[in-house]
Amino acid sequence: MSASGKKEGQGSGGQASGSLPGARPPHIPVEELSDETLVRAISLGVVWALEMLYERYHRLLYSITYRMIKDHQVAEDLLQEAFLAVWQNAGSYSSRMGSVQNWLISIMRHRAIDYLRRLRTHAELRGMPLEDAATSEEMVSADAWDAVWRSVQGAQLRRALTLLSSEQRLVIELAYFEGWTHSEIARAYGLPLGTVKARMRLGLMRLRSILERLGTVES
Amino acid sequence: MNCQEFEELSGAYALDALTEEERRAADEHLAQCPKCSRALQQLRSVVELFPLTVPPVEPSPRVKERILARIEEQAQQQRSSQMQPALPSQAGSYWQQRAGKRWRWAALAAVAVLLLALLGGTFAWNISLQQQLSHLQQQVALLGSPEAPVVYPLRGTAQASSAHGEVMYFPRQQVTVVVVYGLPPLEGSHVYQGWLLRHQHPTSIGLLTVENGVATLNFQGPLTGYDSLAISLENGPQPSREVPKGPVVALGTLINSRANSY
Repeated sequence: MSASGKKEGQGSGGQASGSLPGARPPHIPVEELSDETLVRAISLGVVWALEMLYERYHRLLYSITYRMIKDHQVAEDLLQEAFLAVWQNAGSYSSRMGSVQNWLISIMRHRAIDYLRRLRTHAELRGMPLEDAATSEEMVSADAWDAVWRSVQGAQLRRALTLLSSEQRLVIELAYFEGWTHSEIARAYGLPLGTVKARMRLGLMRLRSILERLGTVES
Repeated sequence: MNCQEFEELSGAYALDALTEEERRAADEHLAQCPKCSRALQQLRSVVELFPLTVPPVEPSPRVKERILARIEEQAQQQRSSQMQPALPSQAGSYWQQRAGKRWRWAALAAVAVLLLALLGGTFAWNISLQQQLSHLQQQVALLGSPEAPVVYPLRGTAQASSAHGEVMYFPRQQVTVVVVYGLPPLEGSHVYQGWLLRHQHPTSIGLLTVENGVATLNFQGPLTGYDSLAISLENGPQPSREVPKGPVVALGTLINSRANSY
């Protein structure tokens, strides 16, 4: 899956030279405005800019949230909250914080994580058995994943995930998609905290190394 | 927190799996340790790909409507708290404007349907109808909006051929926003300064703020009557008075301010 956002530098083509005064400027379709430009417009109170940003990213943000929450009603409420937060705080966005897409994902995930952490109590911390993680169709079945993953990067990452040990994959999955902290995972699985930390770090490093070899990320 | 302690929890940091307290301690360390910041970025670049692995799911269309209704509600509260009557051009609420757009679209759609019905209905006509309706819908949605921006492109000159950007005037807010990408990094006290030109007479509109290679400038007021907008490289740190002293690095032509509105 990929969002159709416009990064800076993507936009209409045209001549890269000083235009002559009096010449009609080339047409820039509003759809080609960069994400950063839309966020600046939102910070000025321009409603259509928020609508356009919503059109570009709602599916991606909703898919992540639904994957984490597994409840359509709650996921929709959180999506609404996230875009209202964007409307109110667009002025605080700076390109120093990374791309607009990652900024939006961060806003969305933090809302989902807050919700999940509020919902969970220590008594409810029951871990997924390791053997489930190892045999979970979602984690292992390449065919099933390929059917729903739309992007090459997604498919490569999925392939890379299957190359991790089931222990590493489990802690990464619980942290990213379930919003668990490392200490919650350690408690639920009766593992030393250092072990959980190491599995997260080594798992991500291994993923990076695999993705570098595949050319998905730059080395 | 030292580098070794940070390294141990760097994976959990990248995955947002730290407690608030741990995150604060880690942030303090990162603020003063470029080496650990670089190492973290390596892990983050992997985590940022995770959303691509999620099966796509579409939310209900009602979510967008609810978001827009809440925004309108907030805007109304703000307006009433400021005790200011709406200007005639802003008198219609967002939903009234939307309703207006829908009526106009419906009227255009009806005309299209009638025309096509007269020509006889076939499957091919249905496809054509769908395309025309979609096009009409897009046109009405954008052209009818009082918020529609007026956008002009900015192009780099020979001094900065990779520069490009946009000049946008927002009629409702009466604000012009200039965004320029790809300008060469500034050296020493140099600054980028914006100018509006009318018959070759420049008027300064201030210095651009440069952050991560993106230069921006906002100023109040329309562009009516100006021929072009230029960005010059000045010695700084103060803006040049009256005329640019340095080379023009980017230029955009501004015609009739309504000519290119959407």
